[in-house]
Amino acid sequence: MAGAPDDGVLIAAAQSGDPGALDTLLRRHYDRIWALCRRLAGNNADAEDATQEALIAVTRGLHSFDGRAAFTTWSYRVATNACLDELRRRARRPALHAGDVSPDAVDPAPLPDHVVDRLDVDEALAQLPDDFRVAVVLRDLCDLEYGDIAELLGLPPGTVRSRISRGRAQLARHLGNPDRSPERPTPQP
Amino acid sequence: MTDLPPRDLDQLASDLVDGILPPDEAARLRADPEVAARVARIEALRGALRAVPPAPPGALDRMVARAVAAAVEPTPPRLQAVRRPAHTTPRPLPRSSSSSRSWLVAAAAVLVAGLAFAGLASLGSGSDEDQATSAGDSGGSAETADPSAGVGSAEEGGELDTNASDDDAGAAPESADGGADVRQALGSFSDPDALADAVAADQTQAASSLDDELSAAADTCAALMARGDTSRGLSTYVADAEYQGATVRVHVYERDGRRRLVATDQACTDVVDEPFDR
Repeated sequence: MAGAPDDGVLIAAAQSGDPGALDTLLRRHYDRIWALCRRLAGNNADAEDATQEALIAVTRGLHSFDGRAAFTTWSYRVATNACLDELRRRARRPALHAGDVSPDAVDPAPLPDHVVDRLDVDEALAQLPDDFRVAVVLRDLCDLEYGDIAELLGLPPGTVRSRISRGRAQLARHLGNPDRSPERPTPQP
Repeated sequence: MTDLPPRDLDQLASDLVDGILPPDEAARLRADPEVAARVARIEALRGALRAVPPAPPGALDRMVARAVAAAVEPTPPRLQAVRRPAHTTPRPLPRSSSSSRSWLVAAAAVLVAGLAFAGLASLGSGSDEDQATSAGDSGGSAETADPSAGVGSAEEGGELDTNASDDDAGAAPESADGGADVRQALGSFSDPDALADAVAADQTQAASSLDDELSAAADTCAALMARGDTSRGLSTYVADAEYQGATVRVHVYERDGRRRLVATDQACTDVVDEPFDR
């Protein structure tokens, strides 16, 4: 592993027109961008197109990267916008809006043993309003801090906090009843 | 704690998971079964979210190769700090095969505009409306003369800038790229509301359709940036601005009586896309 150039070196070289450095940089961050786009898209086919657009957007925007933000954060921003733009072009995103699911609604279907399979997650994410889905994915998948998400989305941190909370709650409700948990006391016959 | 509304419990649990609560409050909440149940749920969801299906075999090589190839393809033209004033009447662009001829026309237009503006200023007897109209007309003429050179930047901020021709020679795109001395028409923004406010304030007249400012641009992105995305409706306004540190082109699209504010960065990615009702 010794001798592997860090991102800064690769970025500088890529900005100078070194295709090898750009190739290495993109490969290094590919998994992250794929994961982001896959979760935002909800299926492999759309995620492939979205990831491709995201990588191209990163490539074409690299000249403007000035190091003020971490490359990871910057690339998430570019990738998020590229993914959403691509998905919008394809018009395959769900058309639900923030008010479609009552925050206090209780889904009667329990989540068995907290086991959530892949399809359930995709379906549940697809039912989230875009604003909530992006916030939750950036936080829970990408591990971005509230401040980074706020900057990325151009929102106040308080709004990000609220969207994450509400997104998580709605996600839980789409997957099962959050009130049916082992910790919750159950009435004895 | 159990008498709190579910949304409050959700928020507390979310805050607890993200570690943004004071330690004493966090400890107290962990002991609460309602909150603890929600925390367990969130953590389970996080685990599920992170179990991302793998990319198809070969996708990595294919996508990276295409992205690297895109680096050497013609890129979208860098946005110039040019604001097309809403009150400028669109007119057909003169097509000249000679760039030097365009330069001469542009220089002449800037000179005429500058003289006209100086004359107005020295007279000082015209109404504000008259002056505004004259400045707008002058700028429109200059812009029309050589839009690719960004002569319209001479009226950046609503005033004529006689130094604009220097920038038009190439300084503006380069400085925009380098992040220094970026000349912005609308200003710098960090949130969509502020951008929308500026656009609303800047819209002196509606329905200023775009002409073919960059119609000769070869790639789709360039055309999109110049004319707007017709699939979204009629572009009734366009300007350049800085949004979250990046130069963006701002469009207001109108369709079926509804308008949307869209800001697109140089990678042709929408960084703002929201209803616009101001």
